[in-house]
Amino acid sequence: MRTMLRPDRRRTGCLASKAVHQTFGGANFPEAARLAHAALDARSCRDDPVCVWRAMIGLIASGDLITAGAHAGRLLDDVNPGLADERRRHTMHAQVRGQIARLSGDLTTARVVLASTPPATSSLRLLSAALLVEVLVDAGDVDEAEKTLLANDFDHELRQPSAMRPMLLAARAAVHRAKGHPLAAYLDYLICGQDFLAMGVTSTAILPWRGKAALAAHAAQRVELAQRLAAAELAAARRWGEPRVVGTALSTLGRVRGDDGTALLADSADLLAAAGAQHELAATRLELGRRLTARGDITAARGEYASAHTSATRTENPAHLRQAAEALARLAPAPARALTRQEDLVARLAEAGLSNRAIAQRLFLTVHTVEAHLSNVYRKLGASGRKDLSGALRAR
Amino acid sequence: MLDERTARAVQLTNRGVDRVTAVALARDVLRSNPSARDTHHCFLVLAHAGEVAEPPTHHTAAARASALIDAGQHDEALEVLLSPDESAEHFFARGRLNQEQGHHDRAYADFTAAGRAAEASGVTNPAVLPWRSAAALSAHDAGRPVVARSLAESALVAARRWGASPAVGRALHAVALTGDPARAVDRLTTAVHLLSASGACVLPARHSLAQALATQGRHAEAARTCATTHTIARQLGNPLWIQRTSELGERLDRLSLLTPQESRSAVLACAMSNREVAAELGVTTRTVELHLSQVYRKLHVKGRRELNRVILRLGVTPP
Repeated sequence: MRTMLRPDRRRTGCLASKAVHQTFGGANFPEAARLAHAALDARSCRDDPVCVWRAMIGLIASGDLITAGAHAGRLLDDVNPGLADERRRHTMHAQVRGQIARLSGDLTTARVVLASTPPATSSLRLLSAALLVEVLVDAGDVDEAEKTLLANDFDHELRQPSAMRPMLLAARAAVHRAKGHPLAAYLDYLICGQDFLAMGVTSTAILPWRGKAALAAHAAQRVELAQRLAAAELAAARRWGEPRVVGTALSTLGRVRGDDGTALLADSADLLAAAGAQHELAATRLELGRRLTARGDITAARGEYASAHTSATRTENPAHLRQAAEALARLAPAPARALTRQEDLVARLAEAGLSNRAIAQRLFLTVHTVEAHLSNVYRKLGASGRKDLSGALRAR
Repeated sequence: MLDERTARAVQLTNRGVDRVTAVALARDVLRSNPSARDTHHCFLVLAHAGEVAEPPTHHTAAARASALIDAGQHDEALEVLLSPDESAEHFFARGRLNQEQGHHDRAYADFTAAGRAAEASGVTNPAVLPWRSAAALSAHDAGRPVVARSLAESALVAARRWGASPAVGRALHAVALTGDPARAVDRLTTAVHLLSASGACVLPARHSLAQALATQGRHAEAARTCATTHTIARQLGNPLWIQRTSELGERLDRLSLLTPQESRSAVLACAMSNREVAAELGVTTRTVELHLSQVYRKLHVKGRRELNRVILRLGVTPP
């Protein structure tokens, strides 16, 4: 079957192939989403499994996991069965569901879905295996990831260029990285990128290979190289614009830059949270917590570690859970002294934005008294000022 | 107990998928002798679907606060918002107040808190709570353009997924303000069109359109758009927008009084000293000083700072 990466000449011009074309071009993700949506409704595309598959790619790359999830079942039920056999369609369906689960941080479901379907053709088998390997690495099960590479004979398959090779290379590179071989990972990512470019895929929406190469280079102490790749990744990500992609690129750049990168990581966390990318979010918040601790901003650091812990609870990634828990334990515990009623009132009014004078007028106190109450509040909550107040009150 | 169909319609609406089915279910229920609760929820579904005008509710503190913000009564809104409440609507209303008062960082924090609360209760439809677009605008004003643009565009994808015109119009408005300035006029024109049947909701978009036209140097169109918006605001009896459109109209009128040389000097003076402006324009410093004193007189401003405010912050450049 023509895979997603080789546009079918018969179907050129249909909405689904336009959606994929837009995705590979790497600019303007709302347009890709719009085309993918239209393809799902169009008479020419709605019954064709390859079209539905392509629409899924466009939707997933555009971050519209909700629509993708709602329509994935069509690969099983609503399409014209004559155009692709049942096993093939089951595998495509499993891959879509697996990707959606993975991108939402539900690594457990992703793992089950991708491991359980017996794939049909060899190219589909390899793609499922590649996706599974990435999920296993994300979940921290590197041994199982390595076994999957071997069981599917990746080293042999990777020797010839093919439509699937970039994805296979990325999977193998992920295992290299997880096992502490960053240089080997870097080389795999480079070939992956070359393969994509040779196929005319300039987009970072399918796989952020430049960013991953940057992290690998950074781990191999090639700092300047890492920074150049990370900057290129961010430029490509901004062209596409989707929150997960931009957030991931910002996180990568924040990590490899020499300065504290706090602003980049904070922006990254916000976008990853908006995209529901719980796994990447946990990792970013842990890093942000480390940087904030290093510069002495303990209240903010504690907030980041706590949020990282929440995300890690959802993804069930053991490494993230452990790191977040340890970090929280290491930080000086938040002072748990109770506020008096007056202090609590003053704190809430200050957090709501009232000035000291306004608070004084409202509570029939002097400004001096309000200032004294606030100073107690800061001391008791370990806050260093009005700015910290929101976070400190919420953390109680 | 809600009718099964109502529950399903509400669920689809909260998720922001399959608007057609949600509308059909709601209409079905409304035709079949519904209970008061069913009626209330089905009307909300239809409102979020853009089928009927949003019913003005003042049941919750957040809704009351919102109405007070719309009327420009910030102190009263703050009063209402002081009672502790962890609901998405509460954070959203607080965000709106902070944004109106220029506390963009705090507004951003409030809108993202609203988003977290909304997602926790299964609400991902921007038609129900447009927290992403609001967060995008705050992020933009807080100097975080990368975050702003990405959030605004993802809100647009979600709004289009649902497909109700007012929701798409609002999202497009935010995209226009956070994206490529060269495309702002086109996007805002479309947004206005999509919001034209939504009563007062069209006013912010029209106002932004007038400002964008002025920034592009299309002053006659800007003035016309502003005047029409003013008329609509008067018809709707909306004091906040009557005042705003009135002020913008005056500013546009005054700006059109400047000669081309005066306006060139004025724009450059926002970023440079008189000497630098003179060098840039190839004239003497004295000439620049003369231009500027005319500019100050015609625009009723007392000095450079006020000039900056009029020209830059309001997104209006002279012809």
